[in-house]
Amino acid sequence: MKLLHLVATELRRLTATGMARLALVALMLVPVLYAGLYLWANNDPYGNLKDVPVALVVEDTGSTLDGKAVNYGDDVKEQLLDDASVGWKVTSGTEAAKGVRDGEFDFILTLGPDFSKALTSAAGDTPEQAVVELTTNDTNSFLATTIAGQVAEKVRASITERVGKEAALSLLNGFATVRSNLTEAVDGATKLADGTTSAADGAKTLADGTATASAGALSLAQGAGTANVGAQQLDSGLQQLRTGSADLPAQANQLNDGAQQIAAGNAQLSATANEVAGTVQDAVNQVPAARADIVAILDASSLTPEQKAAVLAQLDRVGTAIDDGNAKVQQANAQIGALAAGSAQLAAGTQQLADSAPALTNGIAQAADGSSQLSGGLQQVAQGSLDLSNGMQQLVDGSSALSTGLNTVNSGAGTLRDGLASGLDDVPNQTPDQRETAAQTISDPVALDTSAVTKASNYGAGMAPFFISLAAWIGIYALFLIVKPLSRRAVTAMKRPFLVATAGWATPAVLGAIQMAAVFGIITVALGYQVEHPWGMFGFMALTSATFATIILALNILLGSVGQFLGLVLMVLQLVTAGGTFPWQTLPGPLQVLHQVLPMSHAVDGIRQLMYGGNLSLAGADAGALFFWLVGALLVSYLGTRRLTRHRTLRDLRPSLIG
Amino acid sequence: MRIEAIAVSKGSHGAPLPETSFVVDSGEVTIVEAETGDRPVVLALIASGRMVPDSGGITLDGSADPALLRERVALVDAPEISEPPADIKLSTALREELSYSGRSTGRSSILQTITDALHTNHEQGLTPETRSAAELASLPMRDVPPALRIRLLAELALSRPGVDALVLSSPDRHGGLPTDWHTIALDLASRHHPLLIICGAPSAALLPTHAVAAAQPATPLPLPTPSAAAQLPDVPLTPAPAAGEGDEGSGVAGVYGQSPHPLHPQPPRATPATRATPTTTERPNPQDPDA
Repeated sequence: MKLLHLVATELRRLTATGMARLALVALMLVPVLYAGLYLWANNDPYGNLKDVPVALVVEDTGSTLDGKAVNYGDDVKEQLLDDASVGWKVTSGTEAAKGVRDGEFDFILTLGPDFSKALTSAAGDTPEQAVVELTTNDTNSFLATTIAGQVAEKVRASITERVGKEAALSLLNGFATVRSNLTEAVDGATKLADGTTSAADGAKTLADGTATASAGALSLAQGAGTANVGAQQLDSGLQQLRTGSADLPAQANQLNDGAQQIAAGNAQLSATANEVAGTVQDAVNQVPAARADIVAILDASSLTPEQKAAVLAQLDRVGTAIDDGNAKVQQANAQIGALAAGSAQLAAGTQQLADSAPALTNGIAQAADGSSQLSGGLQQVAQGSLDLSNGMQQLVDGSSALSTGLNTVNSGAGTLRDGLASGLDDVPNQTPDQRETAAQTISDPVALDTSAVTKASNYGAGMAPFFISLAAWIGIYALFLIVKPLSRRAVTAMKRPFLVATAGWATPAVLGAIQMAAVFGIITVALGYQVEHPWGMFGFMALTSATFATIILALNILLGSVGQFLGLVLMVLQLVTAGGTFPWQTLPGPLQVLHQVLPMSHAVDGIRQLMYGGNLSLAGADAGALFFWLVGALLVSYLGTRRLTRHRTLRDLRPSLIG
Repeated sequence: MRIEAIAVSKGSHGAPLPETSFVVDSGEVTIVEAETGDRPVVLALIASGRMVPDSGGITLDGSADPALLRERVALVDAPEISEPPADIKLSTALREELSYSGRSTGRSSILQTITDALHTNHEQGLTPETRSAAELASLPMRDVPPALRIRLLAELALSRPGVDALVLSSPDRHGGLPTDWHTIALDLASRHHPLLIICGAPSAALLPTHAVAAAQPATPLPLPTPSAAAQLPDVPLTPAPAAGEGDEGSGVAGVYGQSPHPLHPQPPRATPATRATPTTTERPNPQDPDA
């Protein structure tokens, strides 16, 4: 409650008299006037460039392109006058030069006599750049120069686009011709590749066949060689046989004579033996009868049986021997008979041999002659087959080389075909319409598609966050010209420095919030800027104002009017470092540090986020930074108030240097 | 309760405050003359423990604790320090003062406070007020009658928690009769409060009695409060010559004159800045019915 009373007393003091009320209202209106007037004046400067007077001088004499007369200078002039982004005034070079000096024109855009000639020179052998001449005079307006640069750049870009499109189109048409020729080349190369493939296959077959033939020829040569050797041996054998069998008939006759004699002798021998054997056989045949007579004699004798047996045994031994001898005689007789028969056969054979030996001798002689002929022939065969084999080997080598070579040819033809085909793929296959579009794209390859995360509705809305922050500071600064930072009565009467400091802050904070409400109204209603988070933004503005109030309060408490002056210095410092116009990264290093620290930077950023619907967490961080400043400055105010509560110094009483 | 300042000074060569000594006891009014720019304010601040003197010391019942002094001594109506802003209405100033005391701040309380003050002043025989409390409440502070202003501010300061003694700074700057605020001071002192009044020499000279003290502890002497003070007419009082007056350096007790006199042309004493500051200490009549 004490807080409310302190604030109420201060507010009553500020509104106690008519003059005081007038002063309060005037100071309360400072931020509205400041932000409102500035933003109104700069609401849409770029939209109002059409009122900026600019001289346009076209001296282009024209040129020819593909036999047609062209005058790009006139085209550009028409385009610029239609576009009317600035207040173009077509005039002569001398008039323009005079006008830009005495301020009649802000700048001059000149297209020289060779403008078209230079533009069409790209098709010739000596291409040269066309020149758009820009004449500025910073005494007219420095920003006019910047704008002139932008205008000239737009002109340059549009000319570049047109000329570039024509060049690109003729290039693309050339490509289309190349493509159709290339298509034929691809077909030919395909056929060639197919042919070389068959040739390579044939060569391979040939090589395989010749290899087989070569192997056969080699076997043939080897066989013929062997046969040749055999024939040579046969021939020499037969020659020996011929030599050896030359006396054969005579000798056969001699043999035959001997054999005849043997056969005759043996026949005689056999007859004799037969007589002997008969005789012996007869003797034998008489033995049993003799034995029976003896036995009978014996029986008749008075000999005892034992004597008889002994006599008989003696007799039987002789009888057995006679039998054995007879057997041998009979055997020998049979053998002699066989011998006689065999020698008779032999004699018959020798007789035949002797008869046939001349014929054999003649045959052998004929065979020896034949084998001589055979050997000679085989000699020739062996030589020929050897030659054949060697030739076949050469044939094999040649056909192998042929196959390899044809393979190379084939792969080369394939590469040629593939290369041509891929080349064909790389050459765009375009219809005339597509070529038109492509030429357009080549001449203007990059379209800037601005996808704005957030958007300020115009220049003024873009500057608004900066000027709202500035207005907040200026408003609080102005308020402290009449608002008493501290209730000295309360400092003297109470031991509640925190309460007193808070009351000293609450008064300007409340008034600042009202100022911000007025500024907010001007921005949203009068200027009609779009605000994405109205309540958030207003709250943030009030926080900004309240934060600035604590800062200037702390300065006032610590240093009196010197502190108030420092508030002005601090404002200038923040005006520079807040990054309200150019991005803060363009500041020099030390000022960038200040940008990060000082509260207005955070105020500008937070209002931007809330006004354009940006990142609310960033706005939250900005609010946090401001709150940090608020608490810090309030703490400083409290400490200053506590000191004043405890003891004053003379400096507290003396009027300060300023104010 | 005794507040004793021994040779306190601030600054050098007597500016803004030369060495000054005074004693204030409960139930007594001590007047210290101080003029020129900062001097009354500096003295008032030092006397109430709100400024550290460059030399000398100030004690409350023998203890030199400025925090205790600040708690017990209120600084009333000191220019630029504790005076209400001239433009605000009396009611606003009173609401704030009432809130310091932790009292009700409603309109009825404000009007009641004004009514009580008017009543008390009237009882003390001060200039009667014809306007109603409501009329007075809507006056800007600069137009509030001095006697009412001082009565209200002093009474409300005394009603703050812990406050026992008052330092009344330059009550003479509002005009009016010095005897008016003197009477009020005596009335408040009669309730056992120590009262220090800092005023200019001319005003001091206009008081019924005053003594000039040297730059050393003045010996406070009891002063009887005239019962006739209640029937004082609307004419300025003339201080009666007191016995032994003029001996600088000794605190001399003055007594209210029994009869009113026109202002006599006694030349005010020039008090150079380097000179000692005269002080006067008076004790209200112990038999005062309000005591």
